[in-house]
Amino acid sequence: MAKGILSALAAGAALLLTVPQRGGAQTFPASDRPAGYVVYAKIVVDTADVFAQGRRQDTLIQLTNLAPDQGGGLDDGTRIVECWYVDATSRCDNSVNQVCRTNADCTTGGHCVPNWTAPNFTIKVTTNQPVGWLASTGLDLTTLDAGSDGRVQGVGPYFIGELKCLEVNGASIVETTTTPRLANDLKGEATIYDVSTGAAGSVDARSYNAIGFQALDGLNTPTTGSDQTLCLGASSGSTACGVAEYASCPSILIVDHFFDGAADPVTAAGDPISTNVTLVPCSENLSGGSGLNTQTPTTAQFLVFNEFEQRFSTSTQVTCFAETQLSHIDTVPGNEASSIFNFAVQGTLTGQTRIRPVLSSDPNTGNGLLAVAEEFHGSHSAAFNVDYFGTNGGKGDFVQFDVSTGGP
Amino acid sequence: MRTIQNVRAGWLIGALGACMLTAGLARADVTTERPGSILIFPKVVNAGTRDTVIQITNTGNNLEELHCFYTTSNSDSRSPLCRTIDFFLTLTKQQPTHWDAGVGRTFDSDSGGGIDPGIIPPVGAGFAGALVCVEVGDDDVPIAMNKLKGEATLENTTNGDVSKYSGITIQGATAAGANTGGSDLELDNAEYNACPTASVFNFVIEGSPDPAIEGSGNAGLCTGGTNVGEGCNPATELTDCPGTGGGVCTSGLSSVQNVLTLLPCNLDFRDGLAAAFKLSYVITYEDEVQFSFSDSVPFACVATVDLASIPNTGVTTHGPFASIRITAASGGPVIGVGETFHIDSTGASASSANNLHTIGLCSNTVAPARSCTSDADCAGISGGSTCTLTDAATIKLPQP
Repeated sequence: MAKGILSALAAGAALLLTVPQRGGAQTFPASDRPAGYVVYAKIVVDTADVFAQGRRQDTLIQLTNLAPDQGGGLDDGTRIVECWYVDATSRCDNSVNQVCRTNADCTTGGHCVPNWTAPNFTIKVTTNQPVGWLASTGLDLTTLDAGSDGRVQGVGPYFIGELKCLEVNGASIVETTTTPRLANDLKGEATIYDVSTGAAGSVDARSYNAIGFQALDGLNTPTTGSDQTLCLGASSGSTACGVAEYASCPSILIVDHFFDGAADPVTAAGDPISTNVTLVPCSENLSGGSGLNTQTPTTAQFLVFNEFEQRFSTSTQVTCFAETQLSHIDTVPGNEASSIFNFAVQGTLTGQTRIRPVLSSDPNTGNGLLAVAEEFHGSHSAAFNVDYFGTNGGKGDFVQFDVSTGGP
Repeated sequence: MRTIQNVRAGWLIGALGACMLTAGLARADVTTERPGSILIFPKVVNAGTRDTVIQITNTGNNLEELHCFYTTSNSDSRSPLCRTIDFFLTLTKQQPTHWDAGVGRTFDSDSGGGIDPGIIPPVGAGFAGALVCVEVGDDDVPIAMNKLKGEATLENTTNGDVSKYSGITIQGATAAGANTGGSDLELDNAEYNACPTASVFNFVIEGSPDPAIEGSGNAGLCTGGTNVGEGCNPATELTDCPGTGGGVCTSGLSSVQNVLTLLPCNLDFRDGLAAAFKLSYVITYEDEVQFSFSDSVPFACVATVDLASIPNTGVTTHGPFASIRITAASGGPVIGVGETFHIDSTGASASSANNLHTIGLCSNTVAPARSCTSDADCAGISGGSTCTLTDAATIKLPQP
């Protein structure tokens, strides 16, 4: 008798688990499924070749609303999307209009200092609609069809930073309450171009998927009473984010990469390969004023494994936006051959780097990190999303915004 | 009384078992950014001027044994048989490894290769197929540790152009007894996660100029001056097209080409039988206009789909941006990767690759089915409807 009951229950449980998987939100960020909040971790524009590098740079941004039209007077799939560019362009303190990468780009005595801002825009996209624009020029959505609305401002001629987009409630771009909509309808891609013109002109392109955070209840229903703080995971003891609203940030980022300076194993020329990683914080204050400039730095620890299973480590700090060649994490430019990310040190072509943000004890401060990687083979390149491992348990992340004061 | 106790015990064990299985499955579909037990590279090429570098990493602290399979179509791409070769790899804790698919690896021969993972055969010239690696134990029996990740770099051996995508992983249930260890890997959300019901790829319409090249690159050709016929951009035509009669640059001569590579989740490495499958496509333009299309002839083994071959993917009047949803019309679910070639007015080309996004389909809808990410998206459908995110499939391995 007991055996029969157990068999029946076991069969029932097995049957339950083998039916097709139905709707359910993911608790990890994901770059391969739609989400309510998407992050393009690296956007660059340099259409004027400001630093005379012999190429112009721009980023093609694609964003798609996958919400279906339910017909019959139900949800028609139109979505209001609130976006923020996180402008991480540094400027010289002795010439405010002079953009810079290091102090050397400034006139004598000048210092290159970060001055982060977060200009925002609101757009209305219709059901299943894919839209795209160049970061340098933006887009007027009213030219697309009768249902679309809003204008994306261009951020050229020089820009480096992020783009973050969030589904919000509302019927139009002026009537939006800016309350996050608990739905997962957005997907995105960014393609970074390096191009030059003339007889010796060239083209290079690298693409990655925007990183999506799924709203956790996925009910596709309006919410009320928003505090304009997105909770990426829950934080024990937090006043704002005791309950998770969106997927959590990962506890470890895993990047497979060639060691810098490794010879390309395929091309006859054996072009040296290098990898750049862009790290951005999960927690961010997108409100107007000095929000971004008071961002709490997070220490990122790097564990590096070569193909001999040997392990090395180093660390750095990330505040608002950090884009760096791997070898420059632990050495200064010119000393790349001494880096633990360099082929000259490791002796194997490829490695695995695990990046772990160090968590603070403050329950109201998040420390999660996101990343995308770019791999350069001589004058050609590819970009790719990194892997995730684990979440930070009772330590969530906070994205604060205030549309009424955040925009230009 | 005894009966009640038995029922309670039965419920407890059943519920416990269900919880254990569910806990073992962190996500119930494929992923491109978390380690898994089955690692799939849908696009591996060693043909013409292209070759592929494979990177695989053991993200765990235990030794990993891998059973890997290269699979490709026969010369007749719709043959009932696939060509498959297999090999085994061993990775020590946290070890990354790599190889050039066209060259493979011989024992201790690869400078800079670290600890030798084993001999890896090269794929022959003209190869265009997939690589599938499965975690196995010392006895070659499949196990689920969920420690594999990988990337594939597609390279042009002539001009050095590169694109890269992440290997697609399928996580297995790690709870005791959840994995039968049988040579049929059931992708059913019980033994292993199942495959996505549908995938989506965004693209610039074939026939449209590439927006970024038109903006800053060689969008056209000089019609006069000393550089007549050379690449130029209207914004810089005075410098690009110098000389008497110069200074005039055409535009609109850049282009894009999009290629999807799709692999069925039903794979038979035991008998080499091809999984015949047909695909359905829904193309949505940025002005909301939609077209749909289905294959009339099935693919076998792996499908390489040039979007230009699909009707209505090049209607430039609907705007430069579009998305395409891919579902299996027959033969079970598929996974894939998209690649775009960005070509300037001189013919110089750069490629970029993207992993596809996955979504679900509402049940009880007529073709083309409604897309969904949750059951709420399926409201209003007559007779009731739910969002089906995954479909089951089976990978058949040779007997150990």
